Amino acid sequence: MEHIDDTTLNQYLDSTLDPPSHGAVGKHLAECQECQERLNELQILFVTLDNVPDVPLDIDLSERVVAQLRPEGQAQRIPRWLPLLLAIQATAAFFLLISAWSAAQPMLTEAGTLLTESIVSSLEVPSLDQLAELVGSQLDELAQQIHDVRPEINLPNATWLLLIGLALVAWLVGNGFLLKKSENGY
Amino acid sequence: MSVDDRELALRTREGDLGAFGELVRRYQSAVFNVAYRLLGNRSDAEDATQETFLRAFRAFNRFDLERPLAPWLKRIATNVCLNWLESARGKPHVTEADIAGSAANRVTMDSWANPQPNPEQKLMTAEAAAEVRAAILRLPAHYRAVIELRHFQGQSYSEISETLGRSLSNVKSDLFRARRLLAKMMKGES
Repeated sequence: MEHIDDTTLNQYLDSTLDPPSHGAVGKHLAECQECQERLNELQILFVTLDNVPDVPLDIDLSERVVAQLRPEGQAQRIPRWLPLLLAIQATAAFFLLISAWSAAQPMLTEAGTLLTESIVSSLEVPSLDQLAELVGSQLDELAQQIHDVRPEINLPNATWLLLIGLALVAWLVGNGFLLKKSENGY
Repeated sequence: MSVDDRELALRTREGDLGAFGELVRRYQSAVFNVAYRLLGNRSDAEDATQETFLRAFRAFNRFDLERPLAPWLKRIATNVCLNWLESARGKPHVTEADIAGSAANRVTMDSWANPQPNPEQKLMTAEAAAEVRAAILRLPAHYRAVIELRHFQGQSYSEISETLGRSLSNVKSDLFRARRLLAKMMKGES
């Protein structure tokens, strides 16, 4: 009688044989005492391993784990209000740009026209001094026009400083400078 | 994954360390026992348990929340311990305090594998359990791993193959040889 090899016996106990093979092994075991004894040894081992109890863990490791993760967790965590602040900043910058462009467009158009007329009227090539004087006078005129249309907001100097300070803080926070961790991890 | 675990897992992904701490408390015992079976002493097992959870946290975004957490954590623990054993050249640091049984107290497996144990057999069970753990620790690292994954984590051959990164045929031959060795050791044969 040919005995069952170790691999087949193990697979029989693991229930991983196909049904015909499983049946054939079962039939052989019913007739072969030697193979039955080998099967019994394996079965006892399986039961033994199944019954090994867990050992208790005497300490709570969660604090240690979290403490080691804390710098990583903080670095990963983005405050919920930060995206909102960035959105407000972006919106304010957009409207400021639109307002500034609307106010500046007529002046820029006029300045461009003046510059063009100056160049056309001067058929001879101006000297460098003349050119510098021409450009300088145009810039002076442009600056004066901007000054003239500047909105009159009468606030005390202290209030202006406060507003500028708040804007600076909002910009720094929004760009994350105040949120960057220091070298010691806090 | 249970509803509670899923909620904690989602909060962990958002960076809530408190939620992850709660998951550690729930699963640290199971992970510790994987490490203890593979490494054989409490100190190393505690360190390996910590390392397991650190690795799990870093890999949390890739974990499929539809699957149960415990098997995933135990797989990580197994690999942490295998790396540990390889770096320590596979020599377990087993203390006398960890092994309650001795040759004088060796009991035959079938004396307590009885499904209806009497009180004396229940007492012997603790010693027999220590014998079993000691026998497992005498196995080479890769044999210990397949025994742990098959018999204590219930993995199939193909799952073991995936966990260890070994071929199916190697996994089967390792498992069957490990069982044969264990059976011999526990019968008192060297």
